[in-house]
Amino acid sequence: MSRVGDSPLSLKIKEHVRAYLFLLPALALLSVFVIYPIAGTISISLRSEEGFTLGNYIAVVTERSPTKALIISENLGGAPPWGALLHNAVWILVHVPATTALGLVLAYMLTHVYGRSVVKSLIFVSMVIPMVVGGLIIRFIFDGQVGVIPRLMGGLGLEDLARTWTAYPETSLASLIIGSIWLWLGFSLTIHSAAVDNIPRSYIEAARIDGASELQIFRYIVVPAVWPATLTVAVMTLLWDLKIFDIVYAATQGGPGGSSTVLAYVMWLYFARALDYGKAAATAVILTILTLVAAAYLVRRSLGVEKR
Amino acid sequence: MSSIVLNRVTKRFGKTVALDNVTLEIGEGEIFTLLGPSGCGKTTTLRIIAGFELPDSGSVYIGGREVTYLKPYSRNTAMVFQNYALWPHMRVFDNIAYGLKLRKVGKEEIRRRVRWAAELLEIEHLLDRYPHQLSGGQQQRVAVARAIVTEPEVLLMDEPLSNLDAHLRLKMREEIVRLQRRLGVTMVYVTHDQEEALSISNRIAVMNRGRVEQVGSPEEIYEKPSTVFVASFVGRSNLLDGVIAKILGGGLVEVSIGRVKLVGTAMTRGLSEGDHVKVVIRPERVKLEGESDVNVVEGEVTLSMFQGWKSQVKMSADGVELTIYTDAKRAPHPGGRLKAYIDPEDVKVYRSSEDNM
Amino acid sequence: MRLKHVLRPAVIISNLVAWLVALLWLLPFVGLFMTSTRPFEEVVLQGWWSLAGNYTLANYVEVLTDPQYDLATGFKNSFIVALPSTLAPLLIAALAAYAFSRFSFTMRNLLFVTILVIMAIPQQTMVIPLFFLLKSMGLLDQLLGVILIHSSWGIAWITFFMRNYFSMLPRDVEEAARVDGASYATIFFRIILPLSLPALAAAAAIQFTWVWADFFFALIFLYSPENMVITQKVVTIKGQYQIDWGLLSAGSILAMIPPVLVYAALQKYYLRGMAGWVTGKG
Repeated sequence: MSRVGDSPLSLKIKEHVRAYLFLLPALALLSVFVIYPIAGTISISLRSEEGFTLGNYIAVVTERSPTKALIISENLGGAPPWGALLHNAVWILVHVPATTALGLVLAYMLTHVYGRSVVKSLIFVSMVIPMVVGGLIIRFIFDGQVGVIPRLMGGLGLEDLARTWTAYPETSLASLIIGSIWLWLGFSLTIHSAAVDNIPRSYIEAARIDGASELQIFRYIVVPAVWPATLTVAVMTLLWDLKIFDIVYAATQGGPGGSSTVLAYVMWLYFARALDYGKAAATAVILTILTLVAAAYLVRRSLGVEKR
Repeated sequence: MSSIVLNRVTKRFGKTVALDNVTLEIGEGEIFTLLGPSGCGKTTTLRIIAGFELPDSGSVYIGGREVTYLKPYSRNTAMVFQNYALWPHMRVFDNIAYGLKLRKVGKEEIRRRVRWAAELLEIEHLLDRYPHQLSGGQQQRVAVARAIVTEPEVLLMDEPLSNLDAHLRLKMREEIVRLQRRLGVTMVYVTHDQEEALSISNRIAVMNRGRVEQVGSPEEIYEKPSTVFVASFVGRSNLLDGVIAKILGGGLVEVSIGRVKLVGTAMTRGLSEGDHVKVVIRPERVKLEGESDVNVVEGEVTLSMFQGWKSQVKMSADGVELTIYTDAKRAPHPGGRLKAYIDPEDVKVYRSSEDNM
Repeated sequence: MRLKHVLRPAVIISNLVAWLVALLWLLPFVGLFMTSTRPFEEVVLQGWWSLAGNYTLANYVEVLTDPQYDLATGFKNSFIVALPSTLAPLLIAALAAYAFSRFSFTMRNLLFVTILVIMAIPQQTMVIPLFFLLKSMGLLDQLLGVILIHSSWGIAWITFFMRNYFSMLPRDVEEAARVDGASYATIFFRIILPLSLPALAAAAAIQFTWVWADFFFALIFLYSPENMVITQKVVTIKGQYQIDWGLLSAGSILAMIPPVLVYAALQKYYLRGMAGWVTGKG
């Protein structure tokens, strides 16, 4: 406790010491196991035997071999000539709108549904499982022998799709993306549901008494009201799609022939298979930069919340 | 402008009975207030008229037409919500115009009618602002403007003034009454503030625990409360426990309250000697001078609180405590002796029941 | 008449669609379970959706005990990693979060932004130097090494999460204790932590599930079969050419059980935690 003799300066020092004592374990672990490695990776990416170089980055970005290409790939069999980065981009372009929109629509629909917490729980379970298992499940449902989807396609007469999707370059990426919608909907639904539940009942009743239909209420009242949540879901989903690794490893190993590689998987190939640490680091840094750009939005919002 | 009839409406939420066989008739063009404490069912009644809740049994009529199960939109009613429910992402103009837009009214017509409503509520200068840029009082006016712009048959107000500060509330009361007179719309008003109810209503329904205790004009409710609840909820009252000592005939009874005996007016029928009763005496009806020798209570002044235009005086007489309102200038001091005179008409006697114990 | 109101189109469609989606979303799990409880040949011939046939736990037994798959060891290792990696960062981060929330010091904003940035960074960015660091510490291919890494990694997000929660706790209780002469340490352990149990439970549930589910760190830092965690073991069941889905599905389900149980038990906290973390509120 402060005593009469304490000067403002000594109180301040006390407070600083106290703060740093509380922070010490955290700072210690973070410095050694997080901050140092991040700096280390950047450093490795910029080095070669000759010293400072951007060569790793250039090599990694211009690589064209199917399994390691980032942008343009050659020789992918039936798949488009896209590298891992483009695969991530396509993934984002399909997955983010689909999951975000589906979650939002479902969240509003659920306000009329009986047993809605059960529905929410059932859809959320796929978020709780390890993502490698998620990848194995994707492999499972798209399997030519035992998977539902190929059976369904066969039943519909679409013979080309009645085989194991992950085994063919044309369909491997698609199967992963569709599977990821199954995996990630729970997140979108939960966040949107919380936001929808937060809308004051009177907002919707006021629209009802004015004659708005359910669709109009959804479009003009609900969507604008939950917009911040929608943005958050979209950005978090985007971040997840950028970093994706486990699913790809478990389901397709980036194949066949590199048709379903993603940025994180390429990084791992450089590290564990090619033992090329410079290029692995460069890939990791590229991944990080993209992630940070996307996350900057979220960081700014969190700081905004903090200021309030 | 339509009349409203609720016929034996019952509504349950789980095990709680929110409305118990409620029957009400609201006349065309009147300001009808539902008054009571929280949980009495007044808001539920309003929401059933609006169509946001469906009754478990009973029926609702607006303008002679049965509307019990009709959607809110089809009833030609409008509602002003307690928290105003202004849509935050729309400007004031669009908030007001929303109902017209949905009814596919033409742009020119919309502009004309929104201006008309805005002028009535004196908010024409706010049409381009967003709700979060307005004060509470301004938001409230927008909510009212939005409700009247569709020219409804019935205007429902759910405690619209409860979020305003006292001064603003008084001002808005007058404006609401003036507005209603101008438009002639039937208004159903919900409030827990009995003073508010008394000042604006044509008629009041006092509700308690899902039942209507009394319906009448403000004067009737105040002067002739038909139950102890109404007597104690509306205005201030002394609430004393007593026993009937004697039936005097002509509606008068003699009551023993402790060692004090008073002559009062029976408000419940069928009272007999020995019955336990509740005696209600309004503090402002107790006089400090008089000539009668009936109902003269002598005692000691225990408290005297100056309250501006009146003083609140508490006196103790033979174990009975009485609160009196008197002209501030003539208020006695604590410790002194006092004689109080009460007219038997102002001593209202009700049978004690579990509801008012 | 009243029924008509309740059965209006919006309600009917919503209920149909929502329940359809819920059942659809369960389907893969159902399929997995059915496949795991039958001999694989049967599943291939009849499809897992046929209900007839022999039900058996043989797949589970084989996948747990057969040394080629040895999921039992994987199970054990995952627990050994996940439990400390949940409890340690919880305490450490709570301490740090309290500092951020209640004390003012010069570097506060800078450090907090650092934490936010760390939260966004992918695992890939850390592993190369960590690999060599652990090697030099003799912790490569050791569960302790992975525990340290997971704990450190968890500190960032848990600090952010708990700090938001602490900011919402009213300070009067702490201030009253200060007036009574309590030290900050006492206040933290005797007052703050007990008051924060819901948030701590949420953070614990999420962290446990996350560490249990981790694959990438395990892949990089653990390579001896006796040290591998369950996520690694399950993936190795998948053969290069022919997949025995009976075994693989049994293994997958075993790997899913603990996190699903944690979710079921702490569901309330888990969901509240998720929604709160994302919207910036405790």
